[in-house]
Amino acid sequence: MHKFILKRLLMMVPVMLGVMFIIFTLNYITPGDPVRQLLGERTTQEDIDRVTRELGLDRPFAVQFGNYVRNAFRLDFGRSFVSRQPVFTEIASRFPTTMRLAIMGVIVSVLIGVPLGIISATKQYSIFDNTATVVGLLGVSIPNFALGLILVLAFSVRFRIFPPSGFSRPIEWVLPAITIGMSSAAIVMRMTRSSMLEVIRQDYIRTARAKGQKESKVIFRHALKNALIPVITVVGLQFGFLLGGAILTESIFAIPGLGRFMVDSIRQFDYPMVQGGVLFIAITFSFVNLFVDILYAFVDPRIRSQYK
Amino acid sequence: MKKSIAKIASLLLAGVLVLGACSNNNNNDDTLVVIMPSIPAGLDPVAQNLQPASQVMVQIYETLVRQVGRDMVMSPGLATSWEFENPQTLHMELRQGVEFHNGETMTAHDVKFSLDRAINSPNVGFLFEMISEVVVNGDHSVTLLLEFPFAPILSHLAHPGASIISQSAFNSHANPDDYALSPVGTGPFMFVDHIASDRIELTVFENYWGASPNVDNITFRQIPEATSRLIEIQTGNAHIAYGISATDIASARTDDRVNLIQDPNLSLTYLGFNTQMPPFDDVRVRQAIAHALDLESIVEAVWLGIGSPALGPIADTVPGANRNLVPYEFNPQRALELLAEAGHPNGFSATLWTNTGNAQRADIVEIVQNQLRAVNIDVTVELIEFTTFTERMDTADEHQMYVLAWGTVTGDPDYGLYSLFHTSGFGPPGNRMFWSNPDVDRLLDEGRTETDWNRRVQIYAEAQEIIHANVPWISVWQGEDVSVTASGVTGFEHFPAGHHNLWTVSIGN
Repeated sequence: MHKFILKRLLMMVPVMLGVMFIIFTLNYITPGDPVRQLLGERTTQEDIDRVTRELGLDRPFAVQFGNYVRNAFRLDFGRSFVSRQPVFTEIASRFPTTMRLAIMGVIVSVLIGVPLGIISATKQYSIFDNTATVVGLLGVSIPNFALGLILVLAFSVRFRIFPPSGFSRPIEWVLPAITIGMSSAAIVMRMTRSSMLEVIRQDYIRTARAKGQKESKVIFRHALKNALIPVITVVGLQFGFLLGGAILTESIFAIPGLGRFMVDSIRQFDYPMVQGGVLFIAITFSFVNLFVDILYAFVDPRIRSQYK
Repeated sequence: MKKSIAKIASLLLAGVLVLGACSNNNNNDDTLVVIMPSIPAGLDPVAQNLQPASQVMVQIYETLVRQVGRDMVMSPGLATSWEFENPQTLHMELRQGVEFHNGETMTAHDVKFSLDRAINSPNVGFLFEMISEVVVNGDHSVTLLLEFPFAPILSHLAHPGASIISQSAFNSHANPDDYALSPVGTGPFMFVDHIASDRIELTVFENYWGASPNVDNITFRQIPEATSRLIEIQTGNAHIAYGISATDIASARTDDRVNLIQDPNLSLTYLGFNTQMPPFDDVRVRQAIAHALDLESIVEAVWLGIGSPALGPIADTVPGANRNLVPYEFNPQRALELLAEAGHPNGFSATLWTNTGNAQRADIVEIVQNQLRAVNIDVTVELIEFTTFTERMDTADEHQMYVLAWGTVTGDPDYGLYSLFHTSGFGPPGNRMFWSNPDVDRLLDEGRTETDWNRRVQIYAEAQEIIHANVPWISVWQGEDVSVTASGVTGFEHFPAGHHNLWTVSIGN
């Protein structure tokens, strides 16, 4: 297992280099001049040239990229063009918030999606199953910003239970977590349902029932454990999407996370911030994938044996 | 089993309700909470020229002179008096006994240091390019030597870019960029904390030389979503919210928990013509287009009633704006006649540019395209990334019509007219119409050097008449600031340039 983890960690290095190269190239070829954006339309050509030199943007692509990679290995990702603060500090101040939001989104999606999926599968074509299907469809279809605003209008403005914005106190986590977790919950539910349906038709489930085991034991001990692999994959992927895709939820609830910050950075051509942000998200995504792979081993002994 | 589930559920519900009860009105009684669409990344006066930074900086810093009230009346700031020795030499006496937030006394050296930084800044330097040197005369007096006579110098010195900072506080940072997050000024509030993309906290400066503010602390919070900003006020979590959207105005107007405040500002959105590119080199063509556009309907459709159709080349909130200009009547028939006179009885084709990332401008170009079709002008719309858009208009070779905006932030007509309509302003300074008129050049030069305000008003009135008659651009929309305050909040007023003073605000009960 240790060997497997070490191998995976080493494999992340070329992946990260690839990510750096792609995002650096994209920034380089995107139309628009970061210096003009930074200085505004009233600036002079002399100032544009001076700031271009100061930011090192006059150097050839290979030199710029080489410097960036060398510095990145020393955890120096440069300074933001806009705030002039170190990229690492800027990201570090927002990343925990984004992580917390993504983790809570995943918790909500698992807490809602897995039980509903199990019940839907065990009571296939019942009223409950059909209702859950409709709710699941709604969950996937309602855009985050609409659900967020509806929740705020209902629970903040009308009933005054939860605050309409913020993310520092536990009470402030509830509405954003539901908003961001709902669409994932629907996907997790559908995956749990189909995976469970496949498993409960297997011979060993019939055998378990024939042995006279309790239905709950059959479902949770025999069926669920075997149905979990695809669910874990989906949850892992959802977590990755939530890391970078929480922009609307962050906007509605004024959460100072990485998603919206990245959008602003892209708009302002703040290259160092965009590169640093994408790299952080990519690294986190890779770690989540690794964690998911390790989790497979715990759930399924057959996979564990392959890791050796 | 069922009982324990019920127990857990009721405990959870109770917990949520208790937490919920704590959720509202959580602010200290003496903290004014202001909601903004975005908070600045830093507070160095010369490191940017952006509205959100100015909105926070005016509470922390002061300038040598300040503009007060909706009429932007010039008043003493850190300078108590000033005198022009000649049109290019301005003496200023500084206020004595003014302390910086770090306890040091402000001197003329701090003033020179701050203004030198502003002059050399690529972000705000263009506002101070006329200052050739700042000379220190003892601890409390400075002399500004100007490269050329420049009457509106005081309004430029009132710009937040000319804020006076503590030289020693700035120099205490090994990396100058770090000053932006530990600003030290002389204003009524001092900086406490900055949480990126979330909030900026200020507290009252006890040794402030002027009248104490009515609140002890200010928290600026960032809420990007417009409806969420209004909701913060409605739910009692904040006191003032800037940037209310048109779609929320009706809701704010009927809600007695909030006061809606709408005031015209100094911005103007316009449709410009490249006057060196046929057929727009013919004034009759430009006048025809002015008659073909129904500005009322454009403003109503695009801004849903916020602001109003603009009239002259500068916003009518700018002191010295000529309010007697006669608007071009919406008259497609007259437009067709003018086009025929200009040799285009069957119309022509043209391009209309604006920048991406601005929904309003994208809407305007689409409506203009439709309205001009009625007078046989076939318009091709192009949305171009902003920096490429302005760069491609640095010369007169390519563009034909374009939509852009201008804010006369200094509140002086010179700033709204000179670089935009003077021949010397061709290209990047702002005259992207490449329009030249000797009479306007002469008047704008005269307006810069004339120190008598009443005479300047006459000069600018005449210049605006000539510009209006020649239509190098069509003024489309006069902008408006829309904010809400919680009921009980008093003393808040919009400053036309957008950086509203908060030290007169009381939050009541």
